[in-house]
Amino acid sequence: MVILWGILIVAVLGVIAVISMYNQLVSVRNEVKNAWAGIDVQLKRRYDLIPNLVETIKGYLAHEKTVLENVIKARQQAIDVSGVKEQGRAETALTQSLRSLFAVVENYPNLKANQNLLSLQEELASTENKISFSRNNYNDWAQKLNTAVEQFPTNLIAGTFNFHKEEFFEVEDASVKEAPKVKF
Amino acid sequence: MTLTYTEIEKQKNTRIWVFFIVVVLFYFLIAVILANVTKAFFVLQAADLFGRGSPFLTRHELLNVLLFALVAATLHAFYSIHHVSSFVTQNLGAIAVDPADTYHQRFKTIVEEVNVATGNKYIIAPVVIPTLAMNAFALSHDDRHALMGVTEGLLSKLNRQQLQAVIAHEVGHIVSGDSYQTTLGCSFFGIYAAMLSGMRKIFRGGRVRISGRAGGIVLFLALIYILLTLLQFFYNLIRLFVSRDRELRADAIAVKITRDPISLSEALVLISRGWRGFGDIDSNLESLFIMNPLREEVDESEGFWADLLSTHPPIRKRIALLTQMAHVDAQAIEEHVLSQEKIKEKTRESAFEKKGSQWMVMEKEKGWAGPFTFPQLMHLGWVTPDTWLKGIEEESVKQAKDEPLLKPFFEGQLKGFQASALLCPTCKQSLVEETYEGAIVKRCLFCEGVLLEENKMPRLVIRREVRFDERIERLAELAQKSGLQKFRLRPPGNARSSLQCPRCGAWMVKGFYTMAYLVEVDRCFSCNLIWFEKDELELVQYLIEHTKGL
Repeated sequence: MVILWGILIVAVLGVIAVISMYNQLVSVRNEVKNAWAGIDVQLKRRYDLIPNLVETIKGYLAHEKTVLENVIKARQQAIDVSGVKEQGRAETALTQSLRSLFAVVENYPNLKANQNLLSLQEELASTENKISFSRNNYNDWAQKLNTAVEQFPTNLIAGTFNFHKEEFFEVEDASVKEAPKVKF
Repeated sequence: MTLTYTEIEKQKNTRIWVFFIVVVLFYFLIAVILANVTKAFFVLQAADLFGRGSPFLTRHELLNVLLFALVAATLHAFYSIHHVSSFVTQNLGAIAVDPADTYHQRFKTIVEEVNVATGNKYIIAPVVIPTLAMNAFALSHDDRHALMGVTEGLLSKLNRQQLQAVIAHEVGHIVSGDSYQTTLGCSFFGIYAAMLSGMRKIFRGGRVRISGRAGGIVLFLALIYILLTLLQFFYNLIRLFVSRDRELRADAIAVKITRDPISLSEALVLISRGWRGFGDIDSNLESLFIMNPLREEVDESEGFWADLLSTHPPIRKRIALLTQMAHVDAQAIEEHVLSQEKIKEKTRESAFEKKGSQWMVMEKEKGWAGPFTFPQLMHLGWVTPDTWLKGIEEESVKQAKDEPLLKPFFEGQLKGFQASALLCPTCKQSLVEETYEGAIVKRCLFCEGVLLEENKMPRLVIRREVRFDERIERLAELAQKSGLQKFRLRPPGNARSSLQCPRCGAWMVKGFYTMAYLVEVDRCFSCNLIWFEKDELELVQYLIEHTKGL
């Protein structure tokens, strides 16, 4: 009788533990999804700003079409791509193409004073900051999910109910990796 | 720091509950003590009126008092939580963010950006306190709505990263519920604090005649006063007990959000070196700020008593913790900040250097007019793309549309040359809106006078973009000297000026900017406008900058 009760209690406790671990995993996964949606909003915002930017600059940069074309191409690629890692790569490319565009703009004093361009530039910079903040948020949650998926005993539940690890959203920071410029 | 926001929030909820219960119990305790003292006093002092009885509350009376306190507390809490933000904004004179102001706009953008890091869980209203001090605060009135304020001094002195770090620190307070706690505490004890300050005013007035029964009442009031002071002290102890480590926690959250401990420590160095006081600030509010506005000795010490008695941890400790995270030396940060300050000082632009080239313009049927500077040219009104013009140092004549510098103007895309509807009081030309030190001012392009709203002065005075040359230095000395003479000759007062207010048309009033800065300016008191003639604004800025040493 005592043994039977003992088994029953252990079984009940086990079920409770499984349920709570499962629920925890679900809530973390939802947070990851939510955080990803947060990044997505900012990325979309950036895609929407770029056509305006191109429209503003086009008239001035008649001789440097390639820089503009690179930006347009990079934007299209970033929209088309799917998957966290690929998205990260595409965004890095887009950021770099924008940077080289603004480097070119520096050589055109008339363009630099253009009010539309200034506000677009400001808004793009702000969106980039927002992307990086929401990226941190996403990566924190992804890390939490990945730890849970790998750690004992949650890994057992994760295995059974098909939870898997999420990739980190990584963007290479061009400003950090850029080699120091040599002046002669 | 491995806590996620949900975990912080869970902790926050328990913390807020514990705090809330303690506060409510304490509130009841005070009510009971006050009621009992009142009863005891009347029983002992005025026995002939009320009859003899026990000086203590009976069980029935106790119940009534508690019930009354409960009702009063609920009503009061409801009222004050809904009004706390307007109360604080009024108390500190905070104003909404000015969308045309570059510094304000930057602040607003950064708040939006940092809010993204929390998953946009909060609605944060940014406000600015127009003072030269450096400080920041946050308060929340419920789970979602918060108010964040920074001073003009902070906005002008910190760079983007440093400001971002400070804002992240304040967001840390919002996320971890500190702001809500403080708001709760403030609103509950607001009743007692108001009673206390009211009594202080009575005692300071000192015109209470003491005689007979009135003497008894004064004694009673004094007793209540002492009791309330004591209770306030105990309440402060409770409050302080919870508040010191939360600055450290907010710092940690800030680092988690921005991943940038260095900027936060730089910001702390700058704030601690600057002036952060506000003058008269409610002591209940001080724990809202990133650094104690009152600068108390105890803040900078450690140990049991210091921990207990101060709202803010020592700045050195905070910086040391932050620099440890980044594996850099605290000393190095301080030196870096100082050298950056010096570089910033050097890169200030002279207000008079950027005038640039000048042109002669062919005016119809009148011949060559000028020379005009670029802004004047654009303002003339009759310059079209086909107008002929000639650079003052050039020989060749060309049409305006061929001058690359004028191209953006004709395309209507140039910043900051919006003509306003107001006319210059001297030249009667329309004033032009221009960005000066990040704020919008209205300048006359011909006499170079500036029209300014009085409430924009704190911004201009604290911002350090424009460099003053020797001419301004000498003029400032002269102005101060001649001002002093005038000051001696006739008693300081305001005389009618010869100018009319551009807005309402009334005669303006001529007087010194203040009694400390003796530059004569024209004011319209009903529109709150100041008219600075050429150089006068720069003189005032220069004088304020160089006497306060800010």
